[in-house]
Amino acid sequence: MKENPRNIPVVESLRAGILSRDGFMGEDTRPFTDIILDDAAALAALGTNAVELAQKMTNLTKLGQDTPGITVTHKGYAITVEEYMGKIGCPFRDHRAPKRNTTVVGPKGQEMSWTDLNVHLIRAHGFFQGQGAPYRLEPNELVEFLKDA
Amino acid sequence: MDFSAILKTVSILVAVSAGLSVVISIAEKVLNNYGTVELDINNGKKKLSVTGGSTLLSTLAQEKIFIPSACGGKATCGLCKVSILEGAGPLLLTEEPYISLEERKQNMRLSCQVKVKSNMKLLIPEDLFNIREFITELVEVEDMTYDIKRLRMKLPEGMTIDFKAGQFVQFYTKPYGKQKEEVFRAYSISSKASEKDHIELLIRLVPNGIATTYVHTALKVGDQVRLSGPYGDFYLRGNCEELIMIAGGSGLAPIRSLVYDVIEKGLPHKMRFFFGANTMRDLYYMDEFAQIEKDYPQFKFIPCLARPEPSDNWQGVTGFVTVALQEQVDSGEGKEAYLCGSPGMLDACIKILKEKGFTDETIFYDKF
Repeated sequence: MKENPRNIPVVESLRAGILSRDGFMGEDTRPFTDIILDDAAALAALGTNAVELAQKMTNLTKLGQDTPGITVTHKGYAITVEEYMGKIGCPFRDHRAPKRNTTVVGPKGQEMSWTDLNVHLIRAHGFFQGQGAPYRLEPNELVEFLKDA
Repeated sequence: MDFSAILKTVSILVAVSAGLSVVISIAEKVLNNYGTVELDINNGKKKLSVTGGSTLLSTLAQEKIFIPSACGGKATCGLCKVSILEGAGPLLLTEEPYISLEERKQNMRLSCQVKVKSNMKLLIPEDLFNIREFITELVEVEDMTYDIKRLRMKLPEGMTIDFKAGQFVQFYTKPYGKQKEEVFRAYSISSKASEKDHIELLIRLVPNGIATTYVHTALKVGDQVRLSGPYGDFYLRGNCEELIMIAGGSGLAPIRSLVYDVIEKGLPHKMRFFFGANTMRDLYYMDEFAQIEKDYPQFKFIPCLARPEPSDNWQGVTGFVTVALQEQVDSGEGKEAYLCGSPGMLDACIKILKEKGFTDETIFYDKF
């Protein structure tokens, strides 16, 4: 399928080695627009959406971001935030996110991690990244993980 | 359809595809051939004849005019702004988030996004002409902590660098592993400004970071390292009696350079350096700063550990650097603050400093 010319800079930025070492697409061969549509459909089937999920993720990150490196607990979630110098650009070119990683252990012992850029990509673009990307978050797993947050 | 018919059809398709490829290739060469383009810099003070087709950032770099950029020309840092009076074309979507309304009136553009296609008139700050490129040799690598390395690079014989303590250089990686392209990133210089034949950097490993992974896994002593610089306006102003210095992690780099600068120049300023870390294993240069404190009473070093382990036997300040700042800095009167660290730490410290009377004019930090 021919790529929309407006999307070409985005496609370029999603590649490995442009904004991050491993990029945002993993081994996924679908156009990023299809990934977004597929994930949106999965979320709709579960009765939620990307903005709601991003807000829950932000809330958990906020609980830990004032005490980087120290684990705080909230409703059975153990949250640890790590910060690094500098910022990373959004491949959609509309935001620069602090290099901040949030690791959360859920009430049942399961663990998920995300970056501030992850949260922005989900909230602003509905983009959970391609299959196999290091920071890909599976929408259904995220919904389950965050249901008590 | 028999086999020969299939073969014939496939052959025709391949031939047509090959033909189209040739046509597209020729068309690209013709359409993207902008020929020689004239760049008029600073109202005729400098005139360059360049080959069109590349971004302004890379075109200028080829002419040894280095515009600061922390993101490697990916339109994500907004540092590479220059004023383009003629020849830039309309503002691009990728530039919009970084160019304010006021800057649009001044014809500011991101040089990493604007392509050189026709004659241009540019305004470039004169001090950027002093920025040079250095092909250095990596002569030392030292693990300062489990995730911070110190790199010492020797400049080519006979070359020196003049930088202000606190400034940064751009560090260019080479292709490695799956990384097929060169990228560059900004790192503050940690060595003394008086030592002009080498540069030291402190680089912390960032998960999934292109340049930091290169430094931590691929770079070896003896390798060539391309740098350009110096860049930046994070340097000593000194219109005060006391300097409050605050850093976390590899943010120690420019502060170390600043401390030595004040001492070596015999400046009268008192200095207090608050260095934030989580545990003992995140601390480094402890002996060196303890020695400076002993030798120079004007300097006080205050390492702060947020969560020391019992086995650390930590006797110093316990808590975040913000706690020490809150307790130990009474007001902004007669002081300037110099900060380097993660965005979260910077935001938290700047909030406290402003509550104590520091202003935008007395707080300094790199914004990239």
